[in-house]
Amino acid sequence: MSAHAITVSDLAFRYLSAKDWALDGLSLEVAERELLGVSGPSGAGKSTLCLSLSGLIPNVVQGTMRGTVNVRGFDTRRSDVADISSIVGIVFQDPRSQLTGSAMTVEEEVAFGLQNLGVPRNLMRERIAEALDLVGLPGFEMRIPFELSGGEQQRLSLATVIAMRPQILILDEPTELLDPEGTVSVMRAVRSIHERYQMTTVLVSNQPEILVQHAERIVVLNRGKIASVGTPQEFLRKVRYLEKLGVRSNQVAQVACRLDERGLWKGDYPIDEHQAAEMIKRQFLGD
Amino acid sequence: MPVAISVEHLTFQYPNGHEALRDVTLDIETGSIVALIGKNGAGKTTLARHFNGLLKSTSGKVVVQGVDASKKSASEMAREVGYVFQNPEDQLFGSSVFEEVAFGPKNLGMGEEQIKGQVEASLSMVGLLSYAPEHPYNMTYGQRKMLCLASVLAMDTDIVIMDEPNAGQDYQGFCLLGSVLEQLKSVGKTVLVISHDMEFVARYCRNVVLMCDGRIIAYDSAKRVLSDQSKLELYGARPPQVTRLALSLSSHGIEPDIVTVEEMVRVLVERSRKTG
Repeated sequence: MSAHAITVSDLAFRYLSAKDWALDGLSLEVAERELLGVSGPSGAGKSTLCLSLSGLIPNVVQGTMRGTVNVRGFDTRRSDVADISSIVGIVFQDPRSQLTGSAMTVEEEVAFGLQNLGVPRNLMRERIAEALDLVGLPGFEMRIPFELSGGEQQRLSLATVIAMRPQILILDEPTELLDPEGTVSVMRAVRSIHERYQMTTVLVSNQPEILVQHAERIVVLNRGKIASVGTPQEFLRKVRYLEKLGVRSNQVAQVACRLDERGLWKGDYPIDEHQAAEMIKRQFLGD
Repeated sequence: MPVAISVEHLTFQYPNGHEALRDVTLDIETGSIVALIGKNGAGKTTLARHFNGLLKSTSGKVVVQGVDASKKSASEMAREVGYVFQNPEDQLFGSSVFEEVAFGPKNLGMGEEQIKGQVEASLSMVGLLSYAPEHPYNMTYGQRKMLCLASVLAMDTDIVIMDEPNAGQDYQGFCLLGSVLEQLKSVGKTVLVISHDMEFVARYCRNVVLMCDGRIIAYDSAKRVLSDQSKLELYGARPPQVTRLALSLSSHGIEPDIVTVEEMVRVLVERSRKTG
């Protein structure tokens, strides 16, 4: 097995009825236990990448694929979706598209995937309780999934996926449709999961504050290719370039960039408002 | 200032008994761009749906352009108030982008030339003119949301309501929406925007209504509402990041009500001139 959890080599994919390639020669390695951020304008290929990493492309979604995707030693083209799904878990943007719709309770919802994996009943209870606990939904077992708030539903989606203990977790814009409270609660859950299981995680988001706060490395996609890759600090350094691509940076980096352009900023661009406050106090306010 | 929408003691109860709006009173001035903010379930969408007649109040009064909304049908209201739904799948049904946008103007009885003009102008405003012959379902989520906006703009209503136009949009979409708001403002339209994106609200909306549990918690200038951190956080919202920065610098003499990147840059440039 390679040292990388995910190896993508020269991947290209074109959907069945489409003229253009959604991914067009993309190569990427994700280390074991890494939390990788992915951003990019709409149509850049972010969701297509997620579907490729989870094996749904090319096994379920129709189209033309070139190149290879390898997840923990499995070539997705030569493996069953069922085998890949025990390695890679995926959470989508809209929790309503993730939940089965047939489960009467939160507990049944989480149990659904476990039953399919053939997990024994006594172990199932334990797994469900642990998953709900990790996403901050302990005591929700008997609640009705469709009566939960958006943030709660998204955490339930996360619980259904992590209960199956995948080795790799793919999150496709998991907080895009949530309010600020829901967003914070979901990201807190993502953090706990990453810390507890050291799961290799790919987090797709167009919310710059979330990306730079949580990701160790950020990949920016544009027109199916990698436009930029680097640490959060390196990502923030490219404020203007990213704006041109259609990717927003956090506001404090925008401030630093505009001051930098006037020759008034020293050092990296800040990750969050706390770092920004310290830097501004030193550079502008005589601290 | 003339008032476009006036709400007095509005209460609304869903058939399941849930009281979604409680004694809401507010006036929205003609020509203003107002943001409705607050956590999910606060009552933002329920309130907005009273303005185009989709919902009828349980008690209280909603007056739109001087006429009691309860006395008008939803189709009559559609001539005055355009409503862009949050989810494009709730709105789109046409077989081509052009047909989709032409539907509203046709229903309003516009002539063929006028319809064509309206459709092209609206598609061009949202950057989709070249997509006119395409099928809506070949578009990305963000593009479909823009298409919904265009189909409402084409009806040329005096009031436009947008329910979370930002959700699922990239930065290009963010800027495009901003320019649509500015164009609507320049021709005197009244616009109500429901949004969770405080950077967007601060940049493009003059006034902000903060809601929670079916009530209005605050209704003031964007500057005042967005810089009241304790109130916002108490009700499940948050100031924009640049305002959180300003607040943490207020002990050093920085105005705590800075809500945009541009203002913050201006203030710091001035500071460095003085000390520099």
